Amino acid sequence: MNWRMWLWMAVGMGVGGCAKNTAVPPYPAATPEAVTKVTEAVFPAVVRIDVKQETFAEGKRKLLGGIGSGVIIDEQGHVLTNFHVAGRAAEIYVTLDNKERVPGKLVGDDHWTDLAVVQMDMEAVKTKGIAFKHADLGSSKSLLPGQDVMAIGTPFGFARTLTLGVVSNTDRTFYPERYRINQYETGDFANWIQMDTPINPGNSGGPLVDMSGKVVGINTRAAGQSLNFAIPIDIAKEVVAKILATATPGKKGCVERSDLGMELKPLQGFEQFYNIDINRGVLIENLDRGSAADKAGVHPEDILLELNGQATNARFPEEIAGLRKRIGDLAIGSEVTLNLKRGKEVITRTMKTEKLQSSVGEEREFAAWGVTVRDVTRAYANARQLENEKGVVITSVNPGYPAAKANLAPGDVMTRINEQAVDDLEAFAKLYEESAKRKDDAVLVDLVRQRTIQQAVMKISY
Amino acid sequence: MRRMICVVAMVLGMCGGVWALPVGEAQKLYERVQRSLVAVQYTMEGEYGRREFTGLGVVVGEEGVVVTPLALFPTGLPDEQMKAFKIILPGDDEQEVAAAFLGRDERSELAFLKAKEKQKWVAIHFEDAAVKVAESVVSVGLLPKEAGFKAFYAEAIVSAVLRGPIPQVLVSPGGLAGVGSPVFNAEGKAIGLVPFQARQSILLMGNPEDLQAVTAPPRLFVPARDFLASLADPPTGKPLAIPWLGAQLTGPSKEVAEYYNLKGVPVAMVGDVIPDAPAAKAGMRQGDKVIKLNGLGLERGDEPAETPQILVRKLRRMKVGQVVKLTVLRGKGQPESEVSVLLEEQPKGANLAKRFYADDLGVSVREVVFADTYVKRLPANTKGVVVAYVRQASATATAGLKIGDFVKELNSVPVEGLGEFKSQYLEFRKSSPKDVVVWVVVREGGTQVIKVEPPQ
Repeated sequence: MNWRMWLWMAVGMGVGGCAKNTAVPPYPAATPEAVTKVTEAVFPAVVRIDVKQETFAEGKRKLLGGIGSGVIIDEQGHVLTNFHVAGRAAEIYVTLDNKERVPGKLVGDDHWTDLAVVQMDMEAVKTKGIAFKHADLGSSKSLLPGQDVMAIGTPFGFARTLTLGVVSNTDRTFYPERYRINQYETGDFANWIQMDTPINPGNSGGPLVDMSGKVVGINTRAAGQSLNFAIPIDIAKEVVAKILATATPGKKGCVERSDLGMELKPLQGFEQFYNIDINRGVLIENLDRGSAADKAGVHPEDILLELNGQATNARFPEEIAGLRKRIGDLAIGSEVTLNLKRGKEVITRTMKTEKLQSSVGEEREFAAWGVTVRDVTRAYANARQLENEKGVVITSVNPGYPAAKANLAPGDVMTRINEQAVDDLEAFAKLYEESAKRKDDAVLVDLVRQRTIQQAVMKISY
Repeated sequence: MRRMICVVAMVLGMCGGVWALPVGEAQKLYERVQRSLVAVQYTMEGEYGRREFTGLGVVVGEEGVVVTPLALFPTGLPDEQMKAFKIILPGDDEQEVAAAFLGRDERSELAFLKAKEKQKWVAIHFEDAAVKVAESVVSVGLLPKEAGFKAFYAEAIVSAVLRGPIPQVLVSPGGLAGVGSPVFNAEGKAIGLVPFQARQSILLMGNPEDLQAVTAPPRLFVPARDFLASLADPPTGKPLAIPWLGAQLTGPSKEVAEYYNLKGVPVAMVGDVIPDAPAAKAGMRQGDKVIKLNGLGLERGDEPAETPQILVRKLRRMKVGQVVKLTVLRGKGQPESEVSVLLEEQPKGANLAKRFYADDLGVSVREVVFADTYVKRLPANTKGVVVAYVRQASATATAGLKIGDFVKELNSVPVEGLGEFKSQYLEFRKSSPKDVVVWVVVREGGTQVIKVEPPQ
């Protein structure tokens, strides 16, 4: 069940002049006429995206080139694409339907849903006199299995490629698998549209379009043999709105979510054992150490019946993402009341939600030491069974540089530098700068490697 | 004697040291030694199935005590499942003698058995002889069972004497007879034993044509000096009480030593100090640098990492209840201080943990040992059992339970220990022969609730 994640390029669907006034059946079919008409309408809103994404390897910040797809969603030139295409991108170029290319910038991204918003350089668009259209975003809620859909994008760099297929399933979950994009968690908060519409690497970020010309999904992953997956547009619309609302000229937009620190498990097959009605509640399988629910005294094997008075039922795996999203959508810091069944009793626990944190902390390069490090987050500390979330974790070392020569290795957690505590990345950066200023020729590092505590000395030359 | 051999050889114009021993002497040694070489056999029987293991043993006591490398009894296998120990005397009239397992000796990486029958055992007596580079050594081993356990002879020249946690002697490419073989010097003294080593088999079983010991023979042996104390005081049927410090020790790199102005000083650095263990009780702290043991500087290894390993090995050879004085340096520039550590017995390993096998589910669980809670960072007194074995394609394997899972609850009842687990499970099965069993386990820092459905 190890789905390969493929970059896809998707073509946006031009709204302008689309059959808005024409009466169409609710699920129009892919007649030759419909296909050509939709293609004509959508092509001008689909772009090819060339990116240089920030990556950290061999002790250095590097830029890695890639190609994907995107769809223009408004007159301001915002382009919706995948996080795995344009997230963390330092350089972006957008190629439009008329083959003209303009620079773009990352407005914001959200790895949890694998989405990103890019904006074309509107000055360049204007200067070059490029005309473009934006696509109409439809609704994924009304999609039906069997419905005809089209994917448009840049598979393997072949721009403006149209493929045709049907919706295979509208409620696909990969539960209990959890996926990651370069270690960033993804796919936890929504189920997928599954379709047999062929997509390939480079299609990522491009639109899945129904036969009325509306975007119903963002093509995101392929598992081969006609098993392809798109993010429902209803999810994407929410994410876009939040990214645009939080983006400022100096700061990328993002989606903040609430977290209680509970892993939920569907109850199918457990009902008799826990003596609970069918279709009632959801099993709490794990509590993140130190999380809100953990501190409030929620236990594994508690059955969550209600959250703020609303039923939380998940009998099947398909129902888990929706529950996670309900928790994620709560206002951060708001008070939450859980009704739980524990054994024969029903108990209530109250807590305040916390901001959802990734296990992937912020990452930076420290060139003189030849090392890239990430902040240790609580999720990372819990997953690695670290004592606490203090310190920074090495993600790569530059061969021949001080860290590598001192035998430091990826995965080592640095807890002290020159006998000073490293609480987080900021503290580490400060100690690095101070050391560089003093031109220390030797730096003592305390580190945790798996279950051992060690010391190393980096010899620095300036 | 040696001089005479050389004189004779000189007369014959061959005192270049081509052969370790003159042919006649060598043949005598071969004849003598093969009477002390035996095959050691035992049966492992448990949830894994049933399998026989055979390896080389050397008779070291006239009352029938036999020594083998420890690797013949892997510590991953539960002791309680090792049965039917035998000593096989090779020869045309191959003889099998029932034996008792005296136990593992982790101090010297050896294991001991004793024949249950009295007979005229011919023992090899190891001696503490200095081993020098360029001297000749010979060894005698046994070919595998398929080759009738035939004794074979090998000669080599000492290439290097290595310092490490276990001192080892490297010999020239001619190599040594197989793992477990005794090694002799040119005077015919038993001066070492071939330990288990990379790319060698511990077993005297398999196709004799691809026998490593013959085609690419072992090239390392352990000098007798390292294990004479074990031979004099072998285990007696019970696991040995091995002392420990209860603190991680690492060897600081040259640069770290320099930082602490300890350049050239053999040092062991204290890492994690385990609560309530001897080091913690003696007040040792993380970051302490141990520089002396009982007033003497630490013994240096060839690599900085080996210095603490040598220290640990020395401590393991002491007695539980003994007090050792460690000289430590705390912060940079602070004076030496001395700590007295009362050595306690190290916690038992998983091989000694009691087990319970639930055949219908295809799963074994065992008692919790120290390493389980330590590695998972669970409180040391966490109660439960640990999954020790999951049979392939069993109900448990299908449900996703994994070896190493720390079981905290069975059917929503907290697991107190193996005995409680066993009785609870058996009782449950009596009343509900086919019902699902729900496990709550800790894995990778998180809990999982796993439902196992027995075959219906």
